[in-house]
Amino acid sequence: MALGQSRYQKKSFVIPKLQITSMMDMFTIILIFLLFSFSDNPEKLHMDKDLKLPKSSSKVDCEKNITVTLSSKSLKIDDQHIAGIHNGIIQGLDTKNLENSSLYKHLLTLRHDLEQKEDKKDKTSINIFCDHRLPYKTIHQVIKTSGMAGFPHFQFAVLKNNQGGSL
Amino acid sequence: MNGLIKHRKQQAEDTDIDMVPIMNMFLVLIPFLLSSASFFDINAIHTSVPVHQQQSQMNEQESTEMIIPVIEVKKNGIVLYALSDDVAADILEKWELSINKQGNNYPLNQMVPYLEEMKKQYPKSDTILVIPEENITYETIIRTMDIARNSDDKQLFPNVVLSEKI
Repeated sequence: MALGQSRYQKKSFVIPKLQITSMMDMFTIILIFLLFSFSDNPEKLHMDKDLKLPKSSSKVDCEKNITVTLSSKSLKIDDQHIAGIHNGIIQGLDTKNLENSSLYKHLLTLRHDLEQKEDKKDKTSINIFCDHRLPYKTIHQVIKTSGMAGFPHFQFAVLKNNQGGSL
Repeated sequence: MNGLIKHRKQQAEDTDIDMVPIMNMFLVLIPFLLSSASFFDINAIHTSVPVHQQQSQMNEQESTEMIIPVIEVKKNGIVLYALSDDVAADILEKWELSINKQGNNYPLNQMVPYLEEMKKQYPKSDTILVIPEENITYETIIRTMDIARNSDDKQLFPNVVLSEKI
């Protein structure tokens, strides 16, 4: 009896056919979306809730350079924390003695490194990722210090005007 | 006749496309595209700070009449004027203009006819000086730069120099 039942079960077992049509549809949609947002030069930027870039009509692409990030709470150079920012004032940055600041010293080191690479001697500019609410006095301290360290050219990073999102 | 129909049905059942290789390809493509996707389109505005200019460079520019428009963004409004080594002081005075703030907004579009007229009269000029007060927000500075660089499709003063009031 038991043998007959198992034989019957073996006969009725059919290999299940995997229905992948709906998965294919999903993958096709994802693939098309990703193809549209493909960038050969993706800017690596850590999502920071304290950093919201302003929108601009500029159509110039952001080149890869030294990145200075000015959020409402911190100042970073290439992801390295340099100083804190409180109420728009950069901590440890004396406006009358900028040459003693850690920002100046750090930029000067980068300048010396770049001077060894002759082709980039005078072309390098600094990419400034700055929060849209920060006052000019904060930005001015950074660009003045950068100018003193030998970086007089800047690129202000902005979001394309037609984008609804914010960083 | 019935046999022919059965044979055709069998043929139709046999033509299922094997989707597994396509799925494999998708599984390789999607992680690659995810790693190179950019969800924020970040652009840049080129600017610089005033630097000491060499004498030889200044002599080269003397042959053409150049003017540098200045936009001072103040707490109460915008002040526009012009600087030049080539243009007489009485002509420069005519370029002075003040625009008052309207509520919390700066009427930046009112600068457009002024800048367009200046560009028309001095087409060789390509540099503009923006001097914001210390409490002006970065967003306002960027909007001012946008207007100064372009109006509609026309290019006005693409070289923006940020400075402070001396």
